[in-house]
Amino acid sequence: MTPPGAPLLELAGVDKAFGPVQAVEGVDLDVRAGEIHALIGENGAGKSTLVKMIAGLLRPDRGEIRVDGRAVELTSRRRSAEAGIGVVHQHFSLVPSFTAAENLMLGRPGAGRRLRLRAAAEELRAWGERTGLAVDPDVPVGRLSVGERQRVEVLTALAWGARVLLLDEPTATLSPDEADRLLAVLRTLADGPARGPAGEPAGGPGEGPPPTSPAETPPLGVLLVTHKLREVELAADRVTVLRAGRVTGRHARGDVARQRLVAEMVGEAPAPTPRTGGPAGEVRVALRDAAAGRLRRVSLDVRAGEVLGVAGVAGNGQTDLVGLLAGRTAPESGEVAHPVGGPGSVAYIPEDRARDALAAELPVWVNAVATRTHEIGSWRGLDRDRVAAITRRAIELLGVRPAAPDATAAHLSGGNQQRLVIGRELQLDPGLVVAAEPTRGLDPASARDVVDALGRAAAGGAAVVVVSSDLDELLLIADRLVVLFEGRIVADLPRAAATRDAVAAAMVGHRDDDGDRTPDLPAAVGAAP
Amino acid sequence: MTVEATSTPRGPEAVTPAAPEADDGRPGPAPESPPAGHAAGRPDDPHTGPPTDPAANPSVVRAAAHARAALATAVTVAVPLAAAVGVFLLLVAAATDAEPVPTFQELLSSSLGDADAVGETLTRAVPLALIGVGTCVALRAGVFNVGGEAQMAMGSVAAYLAVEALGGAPAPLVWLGGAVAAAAGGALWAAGPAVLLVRRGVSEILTTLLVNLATVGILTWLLQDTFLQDPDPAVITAQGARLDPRLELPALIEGTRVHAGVLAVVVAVAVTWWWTRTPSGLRVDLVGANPRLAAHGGVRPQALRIRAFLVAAAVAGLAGAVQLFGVSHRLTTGLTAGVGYSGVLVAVLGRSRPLPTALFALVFAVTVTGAEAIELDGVPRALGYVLQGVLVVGVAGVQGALAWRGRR
Amino acid sequence: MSGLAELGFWEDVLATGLRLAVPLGLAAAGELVSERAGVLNLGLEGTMAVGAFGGIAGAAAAGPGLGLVVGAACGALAGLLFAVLAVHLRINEIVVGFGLTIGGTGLASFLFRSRFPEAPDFTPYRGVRLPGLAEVPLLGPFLFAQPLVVWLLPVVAAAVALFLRRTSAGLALRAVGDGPAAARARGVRVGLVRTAATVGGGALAGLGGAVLTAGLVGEFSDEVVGGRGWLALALVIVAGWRPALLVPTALLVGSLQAFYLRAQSATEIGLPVSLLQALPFVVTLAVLSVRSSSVRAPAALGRLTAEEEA
Repeated sequence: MTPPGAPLLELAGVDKAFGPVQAVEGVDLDVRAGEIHALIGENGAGKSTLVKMIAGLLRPDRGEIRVDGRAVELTSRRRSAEAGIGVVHQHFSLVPSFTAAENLMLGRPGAGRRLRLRAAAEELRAWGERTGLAVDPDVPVGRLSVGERQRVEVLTALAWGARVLLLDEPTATLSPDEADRLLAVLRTLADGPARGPAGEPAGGPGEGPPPTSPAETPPLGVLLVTHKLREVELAADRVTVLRAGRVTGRHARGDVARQRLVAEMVGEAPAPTPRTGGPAGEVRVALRDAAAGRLRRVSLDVRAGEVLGVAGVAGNGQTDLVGLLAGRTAPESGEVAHPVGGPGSVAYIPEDRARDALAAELPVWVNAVATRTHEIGSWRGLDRDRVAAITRRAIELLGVRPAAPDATAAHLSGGNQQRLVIGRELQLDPGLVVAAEPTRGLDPASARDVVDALGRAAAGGAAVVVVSSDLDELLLIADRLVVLFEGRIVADLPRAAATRDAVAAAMVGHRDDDGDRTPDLPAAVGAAP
Repeated sequence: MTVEATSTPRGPEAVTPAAPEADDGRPGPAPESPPAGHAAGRPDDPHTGPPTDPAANPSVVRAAAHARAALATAVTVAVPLAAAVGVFLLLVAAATDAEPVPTFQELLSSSLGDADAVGETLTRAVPLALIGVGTCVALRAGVFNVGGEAQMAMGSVAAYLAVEALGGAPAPLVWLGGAVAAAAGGALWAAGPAVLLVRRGVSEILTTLLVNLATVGILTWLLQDTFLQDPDPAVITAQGARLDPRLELPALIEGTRVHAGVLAVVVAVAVTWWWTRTPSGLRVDLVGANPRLAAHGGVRPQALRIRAFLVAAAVAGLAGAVQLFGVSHRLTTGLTAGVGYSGVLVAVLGRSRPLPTALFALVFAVTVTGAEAIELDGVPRALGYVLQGVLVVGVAGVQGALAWRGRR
Repeated sequence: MSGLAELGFWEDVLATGLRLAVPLGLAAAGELVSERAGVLNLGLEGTMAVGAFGGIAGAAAAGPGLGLVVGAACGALAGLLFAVLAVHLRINEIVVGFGLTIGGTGLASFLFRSRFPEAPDFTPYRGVRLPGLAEVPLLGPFLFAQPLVVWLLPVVAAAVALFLRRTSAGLALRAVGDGPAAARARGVRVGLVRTAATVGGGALAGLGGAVLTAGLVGEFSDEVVGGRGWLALALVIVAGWRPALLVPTALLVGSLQAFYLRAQSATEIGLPVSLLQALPFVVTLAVLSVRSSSVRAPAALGRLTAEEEA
């Protein structure tokens, strides 16, 4: 048994390189029983590489990983689980068609040949009662909410005997409320019997009871991987800051200011400056009582020259709104009008670029002209000058490397594929830009380039809509913010009124009490300058 | 079990990153390529990747890509051919009493050795190449039409109906009418699977195959129990009446069986090749590679896929007419002889490009003609199919291996 | 010789139908196993052909029992070849499937003709009549006078169902077909599971081919498989990837084939017999079209080439 406070998990001098890129360099990190240790850093700082190494999906080039003070070789996910490390992934670790009980048994070390689903369901119920994380074990998890699915993940890790719980960006898809609830549960899990029930609220209204038999849950070590400072401040006992693969700061709870953490995260790279939007011009797209999919009777105008941010917890109608705005889907009821240019002049940057906007097996130049095949020739053949000109602009706008038009797009790195897609879309001089999660998966430099390019498009007279789950990004770029909740616009805030708290409240359905801004809103738009 | 375009059809193409424009039948942008040159002028742009990346120099990239492509093409052809020859020698040695090497020489000389042999091989290659070229169009749209066998059979039936309808018209007119009817018949026979594919998402592979299997019975019935039956009372097998000799396609080369149908292949290859270099061809490529992207560009993917599907079926029907007028001179149940299946394979081997497809059709014709000849030496002709299987898996395998190297 | 109005005709159709359902159902069960693991093996027809030859070769050496074993082994080898090419080398699975079909069919024919110039001499399984029960009209010949080998079908279908539902390995197999990324994150070795599933599925398909030649017909011909592999592929969809439904669907299609065969030798049936040959395929096509929208395929099926590598 590990004495309280001794490190359960240690990383000592861990290095990992992918080709010429040093993803992680000389990282030391330890997690002790009874604590929540936050690991923070920007996208691309090396967090997910560390996560994968601890989960047994990658092996370090150098350095050691120790569990209970003994060096371990985490050569597979199973080894890592056997060593007592439970991982709650950001994506992909539940089979949607399986029930929670089936998911619990999938890949479980020492499960035996026979599949005992009833026992597994009982086990889940018992753990649910102990932790207050109740889920229905017999429903396909694909039908559960995002928050419930995450509970299944946590319960699975606990039932597998985890003593260290590693959570990779666990709040990315949760509402602020759900996120707070999760943090509270993590607190009680970490505290275990040693400290008894924690001071923080152990669950919101309607939530299950706090752990009833803490004696049965020994204190856990929790490693919380996140890029959200707020969570660090709320929950972490200690924090380790990662930048460009190296540790740039270590702090205990409460001994560091937010600015310092930010500086350690972003380094000397210039922080993108908030846009100063000009006056909004004519209406470029107008929705009137439009409904589609999850979207219910939404009215909205987007004007030339403005950047409209769309916030909301994932799954509240964003996808459908993007489809309508971009002219990709027709409304089930209501109207969508593209007064200028029509859907043809819409730049559309979908969330999953590789899946929706790129033909990886075709050459770069084909991808560059893919949306303009009607203007590059006739049955007699292609207009090569025009093809070359379009290709050149698409490549140069964001600097695709290598700039080889004849190579297949599959040759490009993920970041460069995104640059190509965004370059193609923005080089059209579009009247309207609809971008979903435009910086997701990009390294910080590329992300800044994309944000700048969107800003330039607005300055050049385009109406720009940015849908993002990253509230901080939206607050930075948007001239105006609308919040989607359960398919409706529940807030429409000009930049000045769009504080973090106001937006977060709206994301869980709180409408403004002031009464002077109604959610459905041509009128409010008209009132805004 | 819809096999989606994103995952399947142009698989061979999909897994061959080392083959840019030089060998994939697509024109690049203007040769002097301003995009590349211009981009190179700003090497220290802050956006660029690692500045030491040699791949950032476009002319180097281009030359290297061309060299790689040429090498890849050579390997892609040579290795599977060698594997096929190896399997041939091995199987002949292991399973038969014949001498492996002389038998192989016999296979070659009987299919390529003299004018007669070449004529026979060319004649066999004609329907294969036609179906293969048609299949290229469908494959490019991400449609795996394997119904060529039935479409070709129904094409021949439709051509025969046209012959009946046109009566004593001049031969060229009958040929033309027969060709049009055959194309329509072939397309009609694919309409069901096409609708099922786009409306209900039923795998076109399975539906076209089931149609093939059902058509065997339907054709037997047509040629046994209907007016299409050979009126000669002495005939008891399922076959139709012999064509008026004036309607037989003339021999292209005196003294051989090579008929004017070869010209149909030449035209089909040329037209398809040209089409791949037009915006329309590009749109079909995009539909095949990523329908969502194509839709974003204002294309209706489903409509285009149906069109490509029907074009392939129409060409298969046309192959039926060519076979009727050029070779069999009557409707028979054996008129198609598996060409509908092999035609798909040659298109796969040719990676949906018309000219290589026609060349692979020749290779397949060699295996069929040659295998028939060596049967006289006690080597079953089914060995020809084994060779085709080895070629298919071999070519795909080499492409897979190259792609695997490319990914590393 | 009997007509449509006679009971004997229908007894014959049902009894033959069950026998014909066995190879079909076994091959479909094999395909179901590999498809539940996310591997679309279109080489089923070739795998059955190889199994059919293996069946004959084994039976010629030591009776139909060995034939079944050899046939299954040949099918397993074909499955292994498919797995190496499609799962590990990631060659397009459709291309590999067609290659395997044409190559396997050709190989079986080639080997049979070169190794067995004389038809091999052995006795396939004969019907075993249960005294009393076998005399019951309709059901008697259908269920109680069959060669015992026909019971392989329900046994295998039940075994596959139990394996998928009630074992940890079955759970892993389903996970690999329905959520490979999740399975990989849980430490399941996706490639290995898929290989095992494809080999096992190939063995069942080979067994189906061997039952056809060694168990029931007693001889081999180029047409012996005759599209059964493709029918089996369709049956998997019609059965909605559920092993329990394979038995009735295979029985339906087998009976249609039997109807055609019996109608050929029947007198005065008043139907164009050659058209009946198309019946099993037309009915399968029709049912497939209706069913395909109401069943759910394994999520990862047909995406081997596109899938990300671990």
